[in-house]
Amino acid sequence: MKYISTTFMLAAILFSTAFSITVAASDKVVVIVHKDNTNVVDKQMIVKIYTGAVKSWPDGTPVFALDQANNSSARSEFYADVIGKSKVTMRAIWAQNIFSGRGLPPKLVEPDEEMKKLVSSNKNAVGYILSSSVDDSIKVINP
Amino acid sequence: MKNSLNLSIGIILLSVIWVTSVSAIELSEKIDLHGYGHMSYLTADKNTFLKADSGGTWDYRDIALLFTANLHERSNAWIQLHNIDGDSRVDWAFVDYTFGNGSTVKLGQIKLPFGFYNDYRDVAYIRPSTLNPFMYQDVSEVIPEAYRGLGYSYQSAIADGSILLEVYGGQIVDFEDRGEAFKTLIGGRVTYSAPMPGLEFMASIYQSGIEQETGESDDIQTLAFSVGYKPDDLDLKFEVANKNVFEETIFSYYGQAAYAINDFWTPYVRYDYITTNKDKSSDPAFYQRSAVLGIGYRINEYFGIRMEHHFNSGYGLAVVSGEVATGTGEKNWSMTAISLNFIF
Repeated sequence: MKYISTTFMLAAILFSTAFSITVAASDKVVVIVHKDNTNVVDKQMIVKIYTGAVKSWPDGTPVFALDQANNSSARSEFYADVIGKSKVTMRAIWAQNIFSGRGLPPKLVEPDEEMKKLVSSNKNAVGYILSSSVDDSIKVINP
Repeated sequence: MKNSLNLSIGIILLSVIWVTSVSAIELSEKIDLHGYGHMSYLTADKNTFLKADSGGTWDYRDIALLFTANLHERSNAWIQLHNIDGDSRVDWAFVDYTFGNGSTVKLGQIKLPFGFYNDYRDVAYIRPSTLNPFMYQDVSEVIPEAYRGLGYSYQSAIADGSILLEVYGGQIVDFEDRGEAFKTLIGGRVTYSAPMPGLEFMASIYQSGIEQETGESDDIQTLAFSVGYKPDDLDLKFEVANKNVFEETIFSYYGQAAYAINDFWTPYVRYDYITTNKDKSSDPAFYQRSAVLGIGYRINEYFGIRMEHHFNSGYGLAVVSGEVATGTGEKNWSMTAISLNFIF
């Protein structure tokens, strides 16, 4: 009895761990653009957009960058994994950009659904959402 | 004008105090409000400088409101109102337009692009220390804060790095209202970001002219070279500037190191030097040296505090500010500065 209970518990723990890993993997952050955006975009370009270093796509059209709220988990993952900079560093970068008149930060939007709506309706837009929210209204790019 | 501007800024500040937990205030879909400020306590053991003496002073504070409006996908309007020690002014107000090739044009009253810090030398939260390096201090008069006119910038990749070229023309803004007239200004700044991450080289120059109330006039030429290395948590900077006017040379340089131990603590050191007249640079009344030790603590992403101690030799800037007469100052003296800084 004790052996069965222990085995069951171990199995439950392993199953729940695997399930949570599966959920985390499927909720990875992805970068999205309009379906008709044909610009070749790499990770360096995304970093430059979100740090204010560039304001135009390679084809010369203006970038319309979108961001999520501070308390969004997708935002934390985006800046950690894609941009590779801490919240403090990003704050300093944009404070310098804003108060020197160089540029304004990405527009804040509500996560995922509003982000998708704006990106799908603006050819110059770029944003990020959780991979579980991806549908065919937008294009995912892999920087 | 000044009183109504003070009242306007005061009303806006009172109405936004309770929302200090936001990054910026969205006044409408297209208009945002940002701001910053600081309050500092300064004390000097000998001499008087920046209104600080052995009794100390709280008269070193400012608050600014920056309104931005997105006019078009390629164009924004900017206006910054600033209150410094009770006096209000318009810091800058301009419209910009970004072209498809990444170049940008600005028209209006614009921060003068010079060196690493001139673009945001008033923003205590993001500048390196409570007191700026000498070349950036208002009293040194090395670098003007702003100009009225037209500015153009262009950025391009070069090899594995990038180069940013900025040129401008117009007239220097006389915030001090000294009754001086400035002639036409032209200037530029070139920034090369090397392939090595965090390494930057910069050259800045401006030329103008000045006519004083006495009728005396002369040309002004100012040149600076800057090197910075900021790989990650370490921030190293070195700058040297030279200004010629009325057959006198103001020469200044500094070297600074700051290290962000974590998201909260950043200690820093700086060695700073200025001579207000290179021909008399051996006279303590015409030079000032400072070894600075300081530490900053970031309370959160909106507030920070800083404390620093300056070990000074010479009192050249105190003479320029009129607080100490030539020949009467103490050569070796020190200052302490403590500041509370915020940004939103």
